[in-house]
Amino acid sequence: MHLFSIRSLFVLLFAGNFLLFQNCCWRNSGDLLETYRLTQEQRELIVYEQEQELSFVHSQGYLFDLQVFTDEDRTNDREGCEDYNRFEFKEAVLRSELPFFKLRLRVFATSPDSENDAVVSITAIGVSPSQVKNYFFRIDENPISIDLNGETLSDVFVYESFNEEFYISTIFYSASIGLIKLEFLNGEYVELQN
Amino acid sequence: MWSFKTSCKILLVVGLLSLSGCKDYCMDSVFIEAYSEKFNSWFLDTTITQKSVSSSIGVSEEINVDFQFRDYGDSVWDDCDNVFQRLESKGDYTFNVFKFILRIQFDNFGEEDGFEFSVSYDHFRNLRNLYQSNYRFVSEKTNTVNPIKRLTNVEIGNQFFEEVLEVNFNATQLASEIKTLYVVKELGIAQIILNNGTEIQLLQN
Repeated sequence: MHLFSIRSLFVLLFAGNFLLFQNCCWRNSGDLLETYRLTQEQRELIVYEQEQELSFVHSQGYLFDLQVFTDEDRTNDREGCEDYNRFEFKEAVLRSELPFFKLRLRVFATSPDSENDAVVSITAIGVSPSQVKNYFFRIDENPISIDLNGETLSDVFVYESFNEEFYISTIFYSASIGLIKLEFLNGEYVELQN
Repeated sequence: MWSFKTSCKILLVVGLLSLSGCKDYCMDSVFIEAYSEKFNSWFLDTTITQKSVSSSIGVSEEINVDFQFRDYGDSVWDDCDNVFQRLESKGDYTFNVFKFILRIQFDNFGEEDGFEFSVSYDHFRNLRNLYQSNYRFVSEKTNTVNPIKRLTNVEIGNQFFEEVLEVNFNATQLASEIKTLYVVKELGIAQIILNNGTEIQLLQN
């Protein structure tokens, strides 16, 4: 007769895995290795203030406001078993009711010592949880020039979606004035007004 | 105590009550079959997968719709060996630039008043706002807060539709929330009117 039945073996294996998993967290949580700080210049890439209202116009002429809901400096205080880096980031959420848009803008440093290494991400959040799309650009990428309301902006970053099913195809973001245009798959667009 | 006559009366009443409790419950199968034949035509056309959405504010989009039909088979039995099918047809709509998730559903529960239309509408604010309503085709019973009416010959987007359900969401308040919804037989939602008067039409691709 075997010393352990198959059932006992499974119980032992399960208990062993459980202990291994627990072992990681028996000691103190992971150590903070480095803090990736944002420079003031990087922080200013999120140009918005809380409760600010931005006037936009749809390509068919409909006027609406995007409202700024948050304007915060935050860090990813991640605690776990492994050592970790802390990232500072600044965030703003823009939202409109009709048409509905919800965009979360974040700038975060991607290295502890390089002043130019930051990323601005724009997350388009849809009505249902499955409708979420992230767009990124690095600030060391080359910006383009674009005419807006008779003025030329030369610090515009272009985010393109390569997902043909997501309704926002392109986002135009100016380092000095923020979101300026959203283009959609069907050719319509919304643009910042003066 | 009671007289013999009174005791007999009490026994008679108790006996009758007991008998009534044992009475078989038989559904009206002829009626149910007749209304099923008539109302099952409301079930959604499952070949439809997309809708073109246009609006009076000029904003438009293409959305995917998910229409499903389910036959639960013989699911309802009465005491007279009658068996009835339960059928379900539902449609889910998820928009991008309009802030709502909608589900409509037609159920044939295989009972005398068993053909029902129901609708649920989820509007996102900071928390979810869920509005619901339903309508029984036979008895015409409906939710009192968000009532539903059956209409005939309704014009939507230069087309006339013979049979339409009108849902009034009286509990909504925000300008961007739905005030009225029109559902067309087989095709599903054809028009949405918001509290601020914006009209949204859903047409076939």
